[in-house]
Formats: sequence, C-alpha cells, structure tokens
Amino acid sequence: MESSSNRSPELLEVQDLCFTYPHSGGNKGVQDISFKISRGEIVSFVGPSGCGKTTLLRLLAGFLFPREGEISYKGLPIKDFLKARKIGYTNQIPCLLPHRTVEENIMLPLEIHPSFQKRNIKEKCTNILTAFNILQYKNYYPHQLSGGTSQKVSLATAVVYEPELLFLDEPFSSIDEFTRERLDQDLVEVSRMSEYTTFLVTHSLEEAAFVSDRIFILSGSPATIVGEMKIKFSCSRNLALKQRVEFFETVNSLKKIIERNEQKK
Amino acid sequence: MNRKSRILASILFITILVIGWQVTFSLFNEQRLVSGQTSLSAFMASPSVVLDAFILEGNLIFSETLVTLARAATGFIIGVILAFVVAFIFFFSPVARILLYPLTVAINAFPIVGFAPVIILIFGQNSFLSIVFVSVLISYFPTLVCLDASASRLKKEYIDLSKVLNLSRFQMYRKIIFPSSLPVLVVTAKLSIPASIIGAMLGEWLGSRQGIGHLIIISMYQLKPGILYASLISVALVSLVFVIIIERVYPLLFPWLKDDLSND
Repeated sequence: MESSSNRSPELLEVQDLCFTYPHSGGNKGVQDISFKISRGEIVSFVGPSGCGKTTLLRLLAGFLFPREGEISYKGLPIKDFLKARKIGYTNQIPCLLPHRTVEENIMLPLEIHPSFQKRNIKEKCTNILTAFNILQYKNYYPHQLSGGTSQKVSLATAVVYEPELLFLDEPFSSIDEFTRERLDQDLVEVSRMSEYTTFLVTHSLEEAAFVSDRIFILSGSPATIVGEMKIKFSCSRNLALKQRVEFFETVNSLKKIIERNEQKK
Repeated sequence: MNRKSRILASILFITILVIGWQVTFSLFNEQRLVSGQTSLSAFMASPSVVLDAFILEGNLIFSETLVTLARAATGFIIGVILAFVVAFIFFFSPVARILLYPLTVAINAFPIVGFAPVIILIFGQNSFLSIVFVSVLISYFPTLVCLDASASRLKKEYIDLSKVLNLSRFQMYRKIIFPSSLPVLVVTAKLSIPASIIGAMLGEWLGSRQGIGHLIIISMYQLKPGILYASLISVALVSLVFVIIIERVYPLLFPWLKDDLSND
C-alpha cells in the first residue's frame, strides 16, 4: 500500500466531533471531541459505562455519521476510506457466522475483498490461524468453541485482511481474567507486528494500561474527553509487566483522573 | 427410560388401545345384531375390518396415496420455492414488502376450505394443477413468514459485519441471510409437509376423481368405513415418515446445528 511510503505522523484527525441520538434530548452521544492519532498507535477510550465510548467508536468506524465536526484520514474525509474495506471491527459479542467453520469465517472477508486472489486465501488463513494459535480449531463450528476461542477467532477475522484501522469494542469483557490477559498480550503482539492503528474501548483500566500507547479518559454523557495519558513502560508488554510498580502507578493515576471527574459532576 | 424401552412402551400402549377397540366394537355390534339393528360396520370400522381393507384393497389405497403424495410434494416444493422468491424480493425491496406483505397475510386469512372451490373453478375439475395449487397455497405461507422473520430480524452484529466488509445487499443475502435461513426450512417443513398433504386432499375432495381424498369421500358414500380408515392411516403414515426423514437428514445437511460437545 502507499501508506507505508507516506508516513505522515498524523494518520487520523478528529475535529470537534458532535453527535446526538435522535429522540434522546441531546443527553446521549458525544460532544466536542478532537484528537490526532499517528500510524501504528494503540489508543484506548476509558470511562464510566454508558458514557458514549461505543458511540465514539462507531462514529470513528463510520457506522454512525457525526452531526458536526470532521474525521479525516490521511488528510481526506474518512468516508472515502471506509468504502475501501480497510477496517476491522470486533464487538463485545463475537460475530461469527454459525453456518461457517472457523476457517470459513476467517475466509469471509478475503472472499469479498477484491484485492485477494483465490489461491492466496487458504494460505493467508492458515497463517492467521497459526498466529492466533487456533489452528486446531479450524474445522470447528462457532457453537463448539469456548468464549475465549470465539473471541480470538473474531479478532482473527477482523485482522485477516490487514486493515489499516482496527476498532475493538470491549472485545474481551465477557471473558475470564486469565484468558483475557493472554488475549491482551496477543492483541499487542499482533498490532505491533502489523502496525495496525488500533482503537480499543474498555472498562478495564488495567487492560487499557497494558495494551495502549495512549489513553483517552471520557466522561459522559454526552461523552467529552477529560483527560489524556501517554503510556510508556520501561519493559516490553508481557505478563511480567503487570507485577511491576510502574504498572500499578499508571493504573492508579488513571483511576484518580476518573474519580476526580466523577466528583466534579 | 432408554430409547428402546420407550419405543416398546408406546407400541404396547397402541396394541392395548387397538385390542380394546376391537373388543368393545365386537361386543356392541353383537348386541345390535341380536336386537335386529343394522350392523355397526356400515358406519365404523373395527381394526380387523381395517386390516381386511388393507389386504383386499391395499393396491388401490397405495396407488391413490401415491397420487396424493405426488400432488402434495409438487405443491410443497413449489410453495417453498415461491416463499424463497417472495422473501428474497421482500429483502431487496422494502416497498414491495410494504405492499405485498398485508396481501399475503390476507390471502392466508381466507379459509382454505372456501378458497379451494375458487381455485378449482379456475383451473378445472380433476386437473393436476388445481390440486397442486391448493397445496401450494397452504404450504407456502408458514415458510414465507419464517424466512421473512429471519431476514428482517437480523442480529445487530451481522449488520455491523456487513458494514465493516462493505457488503452489497446481494452479498449480504448470499453470504449471511440465505445460509442462515436454510435451517428455517427444517422447521417449516415439519409444518408444511402435513399441511401440503391436507391441501392436496382437500382439492381432491372437491374436484378430483383420483387420490386419497377422493377415495375417502367415495368410501364414505359407499358405506365402506374400512377403506376410509385404511386411507386415513396410510396418509398419516406417509406424513409421519416424511417428518422422520427430515429429522434424520437435517443434521447431515446442516452440521452447524448439530449439538456437539464443546471442546473445552
């Protein structure tokens, strides 16, 4: 893609984004959101539940259209970009088609994506199955999988055609702590390796701190950005990081920002 | 109870019922005959009479059942295809759906018993087409309603998925809606197969000189309850066999509906 040669520091720019749901009396939605994201960044949105995190994510992914403001991608309106099928999206509930096996589910985006040749699909699929360590499940149907495995498959489906933007809406929230930690690590590895620009909505501060380069703290509703935090750790992101003091400090300072904002209200 | 003993138990129960029927019938009939009244066997059949009818008129009953079956099967197949086509049109054109859906429901609201003579008048007495048409009418409706419901109540995640992949309406139908509505067929077939047989028989009652429906009417007028009962049993068996076949075949056709044990 030409994106690798054109490494603009600001890949995605959001300006004064406003959105309200019809019939909500202006209460729900997002208000005056502006930020800039560079390529390969992993960005998290945290905030109290119901504050509009998902709405913001759906706006960025082009599922909803803003009332005011602009989202531009590489200097152009994002709408044009979305037509090129270059985003990945994962919901809270793994979205797998029940009538397709794991492998067929992962193949679906490739079947539709015009730039993939038929003979490469199988190979590509095997690669991603191996990367996510789910090769042994390739002939299983979704109802035969555990929650963690389905979510892995769902994530694999979202990244299989190498999207430039990856949107994850509380992807691991319904999964037990232990599995989630491993999935978070998988996510960081996959995103780093392929330089996906990733947006993550989560209600777990630990998850946000572990995964992200940058965290936006939202307060609702309508959602506004009340804080921003750059995350940098002295060691790589693995499970050992979670035992370190700097990790605890980061999570605590996040917590403080959120609490301070709650009190202001 | 395991499977074998459950089957045995129901066979035993049915045998007891049949024997009871035969015994009461014989006792009553004897009393009537002694007191000089008409034999009961002009109005009712005992199991032995039904068995006789099967033995003596078995060929006739079998061939007439086949005639009805061919009509019902044609009606069912056309009904299902029609339902798929209409559901497909509804999915692509909300306008068509708004215009046609109430009409479809309205047609179904006509009592089929009253509507069948209308069809027979149009397509002619004793014609294959008119009987098939009655059968189509009765079998396509449940299929259409189920297909339409499964397409219009698509899960939010699938809508998101088609937005992410930027699916066209046709791709959405082909990749998501059509495959996931195939199992609907299993459910509706269980409703529609007996219904299409009813439709065909109704058509035969009213406007045919062939088929099990016709045979039933004739044996009623000729006071031959043995043949009447035997015909009924033979149609019921055919209907049952089809439902059982569907139960057996659908896990092979749609393996994703099979209830396997989870892997972990």
